[in-house]
Parts: sequence; C-alpha cells; structure tokens
Amino acid sequence: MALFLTLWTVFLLALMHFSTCKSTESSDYLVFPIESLNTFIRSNEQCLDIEWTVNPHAYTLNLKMIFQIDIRRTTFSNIVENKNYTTTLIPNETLQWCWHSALPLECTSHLVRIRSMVDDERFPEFKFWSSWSSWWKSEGKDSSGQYHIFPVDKIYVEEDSNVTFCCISRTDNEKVDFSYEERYSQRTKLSPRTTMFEVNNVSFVRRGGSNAFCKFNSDNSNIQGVVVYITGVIEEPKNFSCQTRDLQTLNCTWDPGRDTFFPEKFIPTNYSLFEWFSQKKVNCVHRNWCTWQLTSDIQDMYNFTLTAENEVRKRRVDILFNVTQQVQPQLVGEISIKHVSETEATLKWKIIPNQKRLSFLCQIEVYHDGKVIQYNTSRSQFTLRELQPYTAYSTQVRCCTANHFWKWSEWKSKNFTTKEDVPSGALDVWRIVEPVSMGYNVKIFWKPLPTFQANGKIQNYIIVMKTLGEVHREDIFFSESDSNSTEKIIDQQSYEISVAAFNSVGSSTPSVIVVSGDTENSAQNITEERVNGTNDGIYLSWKPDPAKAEGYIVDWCNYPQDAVCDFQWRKFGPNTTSAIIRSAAFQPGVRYNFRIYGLSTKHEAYLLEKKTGYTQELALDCKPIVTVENLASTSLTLNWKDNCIDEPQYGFFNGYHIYMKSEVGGSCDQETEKQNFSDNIIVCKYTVPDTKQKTFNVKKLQPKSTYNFEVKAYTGGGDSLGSFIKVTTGTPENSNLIMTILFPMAFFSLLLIIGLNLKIQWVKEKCFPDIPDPYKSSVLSLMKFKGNIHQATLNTSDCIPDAIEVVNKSEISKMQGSRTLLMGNEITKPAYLYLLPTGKDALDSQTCICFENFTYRQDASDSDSSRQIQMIPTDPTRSVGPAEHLLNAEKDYIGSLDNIPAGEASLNYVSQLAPTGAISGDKGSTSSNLEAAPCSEYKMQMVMSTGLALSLLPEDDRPISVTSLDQLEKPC
Amino acid sequence: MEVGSSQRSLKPASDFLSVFQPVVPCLLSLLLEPFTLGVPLSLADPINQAYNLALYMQKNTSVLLQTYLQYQGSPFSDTGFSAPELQLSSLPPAAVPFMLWRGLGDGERLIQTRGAFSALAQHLQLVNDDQADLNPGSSVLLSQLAAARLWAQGLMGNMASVMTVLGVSIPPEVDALGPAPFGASAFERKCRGYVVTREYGHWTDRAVRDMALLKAKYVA
Repeated sequence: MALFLTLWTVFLLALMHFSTCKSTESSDYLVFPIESLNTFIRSNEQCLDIEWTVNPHAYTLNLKMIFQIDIRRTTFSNIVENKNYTTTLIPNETLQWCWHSALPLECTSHLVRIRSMVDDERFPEFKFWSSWSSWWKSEGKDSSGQYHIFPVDKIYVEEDSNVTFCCISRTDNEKVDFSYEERYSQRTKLSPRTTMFEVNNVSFVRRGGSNAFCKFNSDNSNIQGVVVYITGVIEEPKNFSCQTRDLQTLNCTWDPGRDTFFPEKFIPTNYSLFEWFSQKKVNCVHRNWCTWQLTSDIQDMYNFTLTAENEVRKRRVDILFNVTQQVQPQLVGEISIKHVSETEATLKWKIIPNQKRLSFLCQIEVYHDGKVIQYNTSRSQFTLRELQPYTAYSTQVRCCTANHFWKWSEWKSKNFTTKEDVPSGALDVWRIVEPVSMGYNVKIFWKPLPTFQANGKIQNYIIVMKTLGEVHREDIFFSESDSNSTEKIIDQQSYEISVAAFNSVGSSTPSVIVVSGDTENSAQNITEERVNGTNDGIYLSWKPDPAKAEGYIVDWCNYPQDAVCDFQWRKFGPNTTSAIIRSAAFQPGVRYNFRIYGLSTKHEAYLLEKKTGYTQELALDCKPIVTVENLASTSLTLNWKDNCIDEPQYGFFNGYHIYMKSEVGGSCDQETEKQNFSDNIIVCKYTVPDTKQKTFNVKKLQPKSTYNFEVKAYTGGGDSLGSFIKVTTGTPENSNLIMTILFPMAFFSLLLIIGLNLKIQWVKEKCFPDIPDPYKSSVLSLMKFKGNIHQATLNTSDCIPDAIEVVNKSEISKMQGSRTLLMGNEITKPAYLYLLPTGKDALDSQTCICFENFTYRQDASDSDSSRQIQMIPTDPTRSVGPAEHLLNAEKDYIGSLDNIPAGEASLNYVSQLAPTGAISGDKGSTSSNLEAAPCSEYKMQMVMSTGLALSLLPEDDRPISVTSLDQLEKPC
Repeated sequence: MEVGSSQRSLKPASDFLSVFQPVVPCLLSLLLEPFTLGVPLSLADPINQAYNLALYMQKNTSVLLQTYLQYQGSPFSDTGFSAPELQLSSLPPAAVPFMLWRGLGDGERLIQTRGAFSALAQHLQLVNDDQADLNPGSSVLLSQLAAARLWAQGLMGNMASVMTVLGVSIPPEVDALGPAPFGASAFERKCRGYVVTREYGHWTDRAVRDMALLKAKYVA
C-alpha cells in the first residue's frame, strides 16, 4: 500500500509539473465529481441526512475538499439551501452532512445536488469545481394519497421558538383549515396537496400540551393533529463543583438555573456526570446535585463533564480537580473534655477522613462572658489555660485541610465548667447605725461577690464583731448564702465588724468596718443641702475631708418611701469629691437623701455631708383656691388657701406664682415677669418666693378693667394646678379726688385769706400803698440803670402846691364805697384852693411836664424811655392852658399809645407836674432854662381809660387830675 | 376519519380500586351482590340495582366528558366542542333507531348493552393510560376515568344478574381492543379518549332506558 501511495504521489507531482506546460487540460486530473448520492429523513431531528461518495483516490490522498450542496423543494424553483461543506477525506469514512429543515421533511419532496473542489494546500493549483451531480430526490408524503399533518405525534419545542407545520390532503387543492391555540399562523401553499403553516413565538399554555390540527373540508370526519409541548430553555449549569467529606464519596453540586415549565418526569431534563479518566458515567437523580463513588488511593485527579439535556437541548460543563484538594473534613463524635481544673481544660476531638496524606488545621473558639478567644492547632487536642475558676465556658472546634484549604468543617460545640477555687478579693460592706433604746442598731450590708471573685458557689457569710473597748469580746455570726445583710444591737462601744464569704474551698478576705454610735450623734449638726438632678442621675459633690479620709462612701435608698428602701452605697477614693449617682430605680418626683461619709484608716466612718435632691422635680399636686379682697379701682388683695406642702414628693416647694391677665391687654409693670403667648395674650407673672405667704396685694391696676388671676404653687418641676378668679376693678372715686386735691387747696386758700386779713396793712404797704414810694418803685431801678435817676425823681421839698383840695372825709369814704364815681356822667366837682394865680396867663407862661408812671406799665417803661413827653410852647402868645396842655398831652400820649393793644391800654395813669421855674423862685426864667430846672411839682396821678379820658376833658378847661378810687392821690 | 383503527387488548386495571376508596362502600352493594348471591330470588332486585347504578352513572357522565375535554386543550376544550363524526371501530355506537331498539328482545338488548360496557371498560383503561402519559398531573381526570371504568364493570355484573334471572345466556367477554394500540399519535389518543368518554355517556343513557324498560315490565 505504501508503495502504491508513493507511486501515486510521484505521479501527481509529475502531473503538476506537466500542468505548468499545459494548463488548459490539467484541471481534469484533480477533480473528483460526486459518484453516489443518497438521502435519509431523520424525523425526530428534522434532519435530511445526505450521504455521498467521490472517487476512492481522493480518500487515499486525504484530500481536503469543499463540497457545495444545493437543496431545493420540488415545488420551488429556487434553492432553499446552498452549503459549502469542507472536510478532509478519510478512507472508509462516509461523507455525510445533516441539513436541518424548519419545514418537516415529510411535507414535500426535497432535491439535492452536490459538486466538489479540492481545497488542499498541497495542490493549490487545482481548485476547480467539479460538475454538479444529478438532482437526488427525497420523497415527501404529499403524494401518498392520505391525510397527514407534520410533524407527527408530539413534538417538543422551546419557548419563544417558531414552529412550522404542514397539512397534506388526500387530493389536490382540498380546502384545509389549521388551528393552533387560536394563534395566527402564516399560510403558504407548497403544492396542490401541501399547505405550510408557520407559528411564531410559541408560548406555554398547559402541561398537557397544545394541539395543532388540520381539518379538511372534504372530509369533516378527518382531523389530523399533533401535540406540541413547550419547554423552557435549559440553562448551562452554574457553580459546578465537587467535594468529598471522607475521600469515599464525591458530592457534586451545581445551580441548574431557571426551572423549566414541566416536571422532570414529563419533560425530563436529565443531568449526568461523565468522568473522562475512568470513562464512567452516572445519571443524576436530582437536578442540582449528584454523588460519585471514589476509588480510594488509586485516582486523585478527576475530570468531570456535567451534561444537562432534554428533548430539545443539551448543555455541558467541565471541571478538573485533585480530590485531595476538595476535602471538607468533618468532626465525628463529641468533643471530649479532659483534665478540667480550676484554670485549665483539655479538649479532644476526632477528624475524618483520617488519612495520613492529609494534614489539618483546627480552630478553637472559647466563649465566656460575651467574649470570645480563638486558638489554632494542627493537633486533634488542645489545652485551654488561664481560665476562671468555677466558670462555665462554651467552646467550639472546626477544622480544614492544612495543605490546601477548601472549606472549614462544621463547628462542633462543647460546654464545660472549671472547678471551684478560694474566693478572691473582699466583700463590699457598709452599714446603717440607728439609735435604739438599748444602744444602737447596726444594719450591716454587703454586696455579693461577682462571679470572677466568688470562684465557686458561696455557701454562707461569716460576720465577726469585736469590741474595741477595754472589755474584749468577739461574737461570730453566720448568714445564709442568699442574704446580703444582717442586723445587730450594739452598746456605746466601738465595734470592729468583719464580713467574709465562704465557698466549698475557702474564705474571702474579711472586709472590716468599725461602727460606733458616736459617729451618728455628731451628724445632728450637719444641715442638709439641696442638689440638682441631671439626666443621668443626681450630681453630688462634697468638700474634701480635712482629716484626709482614706475614702468616701455615699449611701442612699433607692426607694426612700418604702419600708424596705433598698439601701445602696458607693465607695470612692480619697481624691474623688464628686460623683453622679445613677440608679435604674430612680424616679422623677422622688426625693432621694444622700449621706456622704469619710472613711478613716482605722475603718471608721464619719458623716461629712447630707444631700437631698431629685433626679427630676415635678409640679406639686395641689391647687390653691384664690379669693379677692379690698377690691378698689386700681388695686386688690389676693388671698389663697391650699394644701401644698413641702413633702418629699414632686419637688422642692419654692413659693407661688400669680398670673394676671387683663382682658383689655396692656403691659406688665416692672415687678412682674411678662409672658407673651402665641395668640398675643400677655400674662403678667408675680412670684411669691415664700411658701408661708398666702396673700398678695396687686396694685397699679386699671379702673373699670377685668383681670383674670391664677395662683399656682411652683417647684423646680413647674407649677401646680391653679384656680382662676375673674375680677373687675371699680370706677375712680371723686370724693377721694376732692379729699386729696381740692380740700387741701381750699384749706390753704382759707389760710391765705386769713393771713392776708391779719396782715392786710403790711400787704397793702408792700403791694399797693396809698402813696407809693418812688424810691421803692421799680422805675428807680430802671432809671438807675439808665443813669438819670435825678431827672425822674421829684424832690418833694421843691414842690409848690398850687391848690389844696379839701376832701371831706365822709365824702372820701363815700367815694371809696362807690366805684361808679368815675364811671358815671355826673362827676363830683372837688373844691380846690388855688394857691397859684389863676387865669390863662399865669399858666400860659408856665410850661408843664407830664410823665407817665411806668410803675403801672412795666412793658411801656421797658419799651421806650422817650415816652416821657415834654410840651414846650414855642410861642407864648399861643400858649395854652393846662387843660389844653393836658389835652394835647393826652392826645399825644394817646397817639403814642395807639400802638399798644387795646386790652392793655384800657387804663392810663398820668401825672402832671407843675412848672419848675416857680419852684426855684426864678419866675422870670424862660423856657430856655427850663431844661436845667428840675421838675417843679408832682401832681396828682390819674388813671383813666383812653375813651373816658377823651370824654372827660372837654367839660372843664382846668387841669385836673383824675384817678381811680383806690389810687386817688393826695396832691404832693 | 377513523382514529386508532387498530385496536388491541388492554391491561387489567384492578389497581384503580385503591384510588377510589371513598366510593367503594356505596358501590359494594351494587357490585358485589350479584356475584355473592348467585341467582337472585326475584327479578326486581337485580333490575332495580342495575337501574339505580345506571342512574347514578348517568349523573356523572357529562362531568367526565367535560373534565376530559378540559384537559386536552383546544379544540377539545373550546366551548361547544362536538365531533360526532369521530368514531372508534372497536367501540360499537350507542345510537340506534328507536323502533329497532324497542323491537329487540330483552335478552338481546341486555347482551348488546353489556357487550358495549365490556368494550367501554377496556377502552376506559386505555384512555386512562393515555392520559397518564399525556397529562401526568391530571389526577382529577385520572380518578374520574378510573371510577367510570369501575362503574362500567359493575353495571356489567348487574346486567349479568338480570340476564341470569331472565334465563339469558351470558356471552363471554370479547377482547375489543385487540393487539396493543401503541402506534397512535398523541393527538389520536386525545381523540380516542374523547370518543370513549362520549360513547360512555351515550351507552349509559341507553342502559338507563334498558333498565327502565325492564323495570316497567318486570317490577310492579
């Protein structure tokens, strides 16, 4: 054979060489047309199995060839498949290719033809297609003369896939109806007897399958159907792994993924394991795990293929591993405890697989008091040390392979208790000393030893009382294990009391305390201080003990109200002078009393301070009832009664709050605290910081106003309840106003009048003398100020009277009694004694100076000093009499008063002066020297109204001096 | 069309008794008496028993048919489904012209009916097996099919008692199915089951008429 192949190869090579010279005909030598062709239908797979052969020489050369395969359906002219199938020819191996058709192959005939081409690298020059084979026909059932539906029987398809059916009638062009779960189907007529129906995206309807059927109208009794079962798509198994617990059985697990719609019994998704080295296979019963029996010590490496398959699909997953690296050990049996002592215990356990080729690492965890301690060991036993005596421990152990970690074994647990030991430490002891008739009652308290100090079950307590006085005496008492106090009566002596706890092994260190009644007696003088509570508890602070205490003790009762008060104490070091006392028993509104002791080096306790306080004060549970007294227009008095007492409940009773609200609003005075509420209501709060005070005066109220008052007792926790009272103030009292204002005014007015009457003369002289003293006039001060006082003041010694008016006294008095003297038209004509020559001449030659008395017009005197008027005649022949002078003067004067307001100018006081020359005796002097001469005479001063003066003057040409009644002056 | 044209023999289905324990006590009086007492003393009792059983069966035939159709899917489960053209060659049709039926003798009438229930009992076993394959989770349907088969066998026994009293010879049972009909497709098996359950109802109706006629004739 080898010789033949060699010769054939040589022949071909020679042929190739020859082909280079004659290329047109060389292709025929390496072309292998199809020699035989056959087809088979595999209905289950919808596969058209095509088999063909070529010339045997092609197989001999192991040529790599390409086969082009054309497939078409009989009734169609077009090609439905054009496939290039490449393969290397192997002798005695059939050339085969399976064409999967969407349309069932029985529905119609299929025609197949093939041609070939050498595609071998060894012969790159010979790539020529052979001629096509003749069409090979695969017969369908469409010419059978029977009714059919294809596919037949029952088919399995995956969800959401497309399914193609065909209905074949007995004769040509029969009408056919197709139905599939009332779904739309695409109808295509393939031949006169075959109709194709395509249903897309089929979905699951029921476990019993969906029926697809053809109904032929030519024969109603003939229905051809097929049952379609829809299955979910098998997913590739995930997390496929295997492990062993004992190196005898391998347990493989995987995640099968989404479950299919059907139970495995109906559409079985079969899982199987195949091991390649041993070529063994097992079918798995379960869908997510499977077991495999190992051949111990023979095979360590395993190569598994997990296959999941159903009628439609097949999935595979491979895994390769060394079984000794996939070992999860397990602990068998109980963990045993050996050699348990007070502080040690040894654990022992058993591990499988127990094979020498495996080593393990074990982990031990010890739990106690909420804590865990972990140990590691490579052995199968371990000794725990430094344990607490008489203590329960919980341990657990797990192991893994040491050479290659795979998984920890499960935990295996064991509990044990260590043995008892002598109690360690000393009891925390304290006492209460209370005087009784026989001496003092001593209550001794102790706190049970914590477990870590008890070191066993406490069986009893021993109390030893030893006198410290001259007479030595020692008493021993026992107390039950569940007790925490005892009570003894002592006398006036000091006692040393020691308390110790016993368990089955021994005794604790005795706790010593010295008790004496004297220490309690000295406590009488210590005052109790108030302390404030905090959110955490009650804060206490104390002054450092000058005696340098060895420590401090604070004691109190958790339930001070109860008979069994739950006595508590805490000890502090010598450097601690404050603490927050906390207790779960503390309640708001309960007053707790604390006593702070110093502890001497001789174990003697002495009281330092007392404290009392609340964790949180509450408002008092009482309600003051308020009443009102002394209601006035602006004040009232509030009285109240209550049962508020400073008992040790609720809080420290500090006093009262009085709330006042005015219905008309208003503001609060300074004594009160103003409280504004959201609805703009203003409430004034008085604080009465005295619990004994039960009355309060409210002042500064508004008359005729309504007020609401409320009285509440207050503590640090707030106000108690209160009762309202509504009060309306009264109207203002006029009598009071008269009494307070008008009556004093009247009284003083009366006094003034009386006084004035008694001193009328003095007042008259001071205020309105009959003859005013010019030197006392304010005019003088004015003149003095102006420096010409001598011009303004007349010297009475120089006055030459020209007439004497004789006044009858009775007439005067008559005149004084009637004010109508000047007001009436009838004027009494006075009698004058003319001392100077009368007639016009006498007067004509005289000049007269008139001046206004400014003491009666202060404002006028201030305004202008030029009001002093001089009337100097320029022509003696034309000199006028005094009346004229006066008239002129009055005219001028009045004219000068025109500027004065009418009201103010109602009365004018005018004085007339006599000629100065007569006074000096120099009668011949003229007006030229008049200026040097002083005023000759001060005449009677007049007062008159402006109108009246004008009306009076024409009646008499004589110069007159007119004045009012009171100011009727005597001539000077 | 003819569904399942090749009919074959069936397996015995005695195991169905265990499935229907609750109905057994009430049926025992109907089923066992003819076999235990042998020839009855009077004609009325077996006729009444057969009549009562047929009446009881009649009340359940429509339920069986509807349950069966419901499990098969469309078109069987479609509202108003009916395919009278479907027949089984191995199962005699119950339909018969009235005068022909009326003209039959008592013995012949009983022989035909009993023979039909014999074939029905075999076919019900076949249908039960088919549904166990096609609808493995349909326990309700399977139990009703088993009960129907049991009642068919019971009615056969009752009718045999009547025939015995009437002096009618009881023909041996015939293998209606013949060789095992394993070649039927799933759809054909569904159709076959439909024909069996439908004909079971028709034959039950006819049995009631048969027994009523005998009752009127022999029972005062």
